[in-house]
Amino acid sequence: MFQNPRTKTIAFAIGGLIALTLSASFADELIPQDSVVEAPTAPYEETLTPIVAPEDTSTVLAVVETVTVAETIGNSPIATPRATPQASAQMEEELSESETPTVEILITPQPRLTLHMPPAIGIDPRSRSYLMGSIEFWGTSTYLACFTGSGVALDVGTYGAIDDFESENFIVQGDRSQNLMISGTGAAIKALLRTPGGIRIFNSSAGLSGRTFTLALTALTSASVDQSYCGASRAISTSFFSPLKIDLGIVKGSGTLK
Amino acid sequence: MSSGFNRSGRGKSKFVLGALVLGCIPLLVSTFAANVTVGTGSLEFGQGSQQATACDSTVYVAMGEEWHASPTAQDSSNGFFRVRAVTVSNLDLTTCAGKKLRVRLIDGNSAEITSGPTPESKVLQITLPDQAPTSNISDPVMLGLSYLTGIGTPISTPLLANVSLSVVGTAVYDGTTLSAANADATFYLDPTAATVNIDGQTVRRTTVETVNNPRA
Repeated sequence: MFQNPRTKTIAFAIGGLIALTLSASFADELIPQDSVVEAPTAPYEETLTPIVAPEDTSTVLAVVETVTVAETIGNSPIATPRATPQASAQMEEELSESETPTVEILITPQPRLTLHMPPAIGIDPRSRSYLMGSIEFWGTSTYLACFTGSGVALDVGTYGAIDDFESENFIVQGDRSQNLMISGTGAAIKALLRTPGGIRIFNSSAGLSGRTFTLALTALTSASVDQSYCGASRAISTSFFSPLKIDLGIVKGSGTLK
Repeated sequence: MSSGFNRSGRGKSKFVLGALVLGCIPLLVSTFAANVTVGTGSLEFGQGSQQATACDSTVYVAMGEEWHASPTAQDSSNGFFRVRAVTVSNLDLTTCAGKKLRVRLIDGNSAEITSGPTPESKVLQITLPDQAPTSNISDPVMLGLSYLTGIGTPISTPLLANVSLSVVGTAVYDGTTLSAANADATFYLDPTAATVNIDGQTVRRTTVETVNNPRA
């Protein structure tokens, strides 16, 4: 069909272009555009829940005026994963078998997690910070939430204060940085995000308009802020700060002409 | 050796090549168009923003959203982020004392969004206190919370909304410390989330107005 080598080369090039374009179209169809991110269904594998030390609330009660939001939540029952009797029995059985038990923290394969964040967040075009309350997720009991800001930092708990916190069951690391990690039960993370301080996304030198931030959720067996687990996430969502049009004006009452 | 057949074959090849190139164009266009789509559609930018000319020249707006589940038979996780509250921040309650404060939401087609129980409820209005308060007020009756039509006619209908005027605490907009000169007026559209559930993605513009006429 193409006896001329030059024509043949052009034909091959165009054929390649078509193949590339078609694959891009298919890829576009396959990649979800919506904010709802659901990891591909994977059979949930029951994993061992580590034995949890009894929580100590007396310390919190004694110094309630000085604890941070993260500390309060970290010491609350919602941050404490419950070890089921079966899991505990299995754990004890395994402990007796081996002197040095190793508990896998990362659940493999990742269970189906649902994460909702608005794709676009309407903000005042002059905003340099935004109190983010619109995050919803479910699917497992213990998570690692990895927030990554693009040109923005994230401040959780008390605004302006570094609320990094670490207990056995609840960890906050990287407060007021571009990479914030929170790990604990879903209830504990949500409680922290929905306190009056919540999570505030900010840029101290410029507006938020056009900036983005990403949340990646990873299912774990126990709280951990090992950054390598962020990469294992199958539930990732990004929000974009879209400036609202703002009209501000004065309205005067109507007058009667005489 | 040149022949009529060869010339004919070359012509046929050119025709095939031309057809292939033309066939590629729609695919390329659709691919590039899909790549520039962000979220649920095109986004507008803030050319329309302007400074206030009312009693306070530097008020800000912050919109709070929350998840509103709306499961379907096909998708149990279906839902959207509803507008929970609209906050007017950095209000100076001294210079704005006694004035009416109005808020409305507008969609991408420049249409006012219904913010109350009846279709004509397009505006939420409160009356700011005659004297700057020293503590937070969350009584909708005291603040004269009401619905208005788009042109400002009062509507007599049960209130689903709520309101708070805060002078103590932390500003929603920027986390600064609240005061009478830096107050937050927060309109909660429907705290029960039973009736007024506006998808936050549809709001493209907000208006904040103050009214000088106390009889309005």
